[in-house]
Amino acid sequence: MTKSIDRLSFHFNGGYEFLTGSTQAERDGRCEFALGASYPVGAPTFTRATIVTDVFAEQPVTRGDSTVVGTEVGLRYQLTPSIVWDVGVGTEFAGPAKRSVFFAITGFSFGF
Amino acid sequence: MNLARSYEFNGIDFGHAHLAETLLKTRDQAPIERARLQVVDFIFSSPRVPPDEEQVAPTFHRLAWEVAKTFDWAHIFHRSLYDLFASDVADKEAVYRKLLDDYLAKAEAITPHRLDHHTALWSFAESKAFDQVH
Repeated sequence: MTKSIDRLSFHFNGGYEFLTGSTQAERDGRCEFALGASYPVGAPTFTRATIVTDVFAEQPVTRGDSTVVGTEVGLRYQLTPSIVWDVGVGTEFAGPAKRSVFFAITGFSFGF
Repeated sequence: MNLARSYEFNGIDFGHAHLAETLLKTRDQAPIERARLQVVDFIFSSPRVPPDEEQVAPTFHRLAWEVAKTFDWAHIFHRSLYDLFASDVADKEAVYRKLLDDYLAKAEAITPHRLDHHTALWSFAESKAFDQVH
């Protein structure tokens, strides 16, 4: 779900992830929610880079653990007409002790 | 398609969107002139990547989305035609007819009626402004 005000967009995403191979102490699925915002840096004359940030909450895999809550910020950059590069960093600031205090993620999307 | 032409189309697509957004928001000469100069600069920058027109012109795309769709289909049609002309397809006439039929079948594509430049279209006060100034 997205609501935009001029070029600033707010997003709310909800999902359910099916988990396979779970033990009895683990869930076979979990809910995930994210509330975020995005803004194209440099628009209107430059629309290749978009800053994205969000706050997310995920049910833990292990039953009885507390919900993982975190925040992340990233950049979505259009390298070519068919390739987009995404990069982001974040932290899980609430949840079980084994949560990630810092994480980084990057990837490419190809259009075909 | 010829790369230089393709980059030029990227610039022209930006021009349509940016000027539509600007004219929708204001009739003051200063921002319109600024937008026009930005369009010229953008075209001459030979942009390798097509602009995200929804980010170039967010108000235009939300307020006049049917017109925006018309532009989108026209852009796709134009690029398909130039791609065809640049290719070594044997029966270009047949492919052209197919592309034209597909384009005209789109609900949001511009009407197949002839444009009425000399009465309706140019009857608006601003219709000939660009022509007269430039």
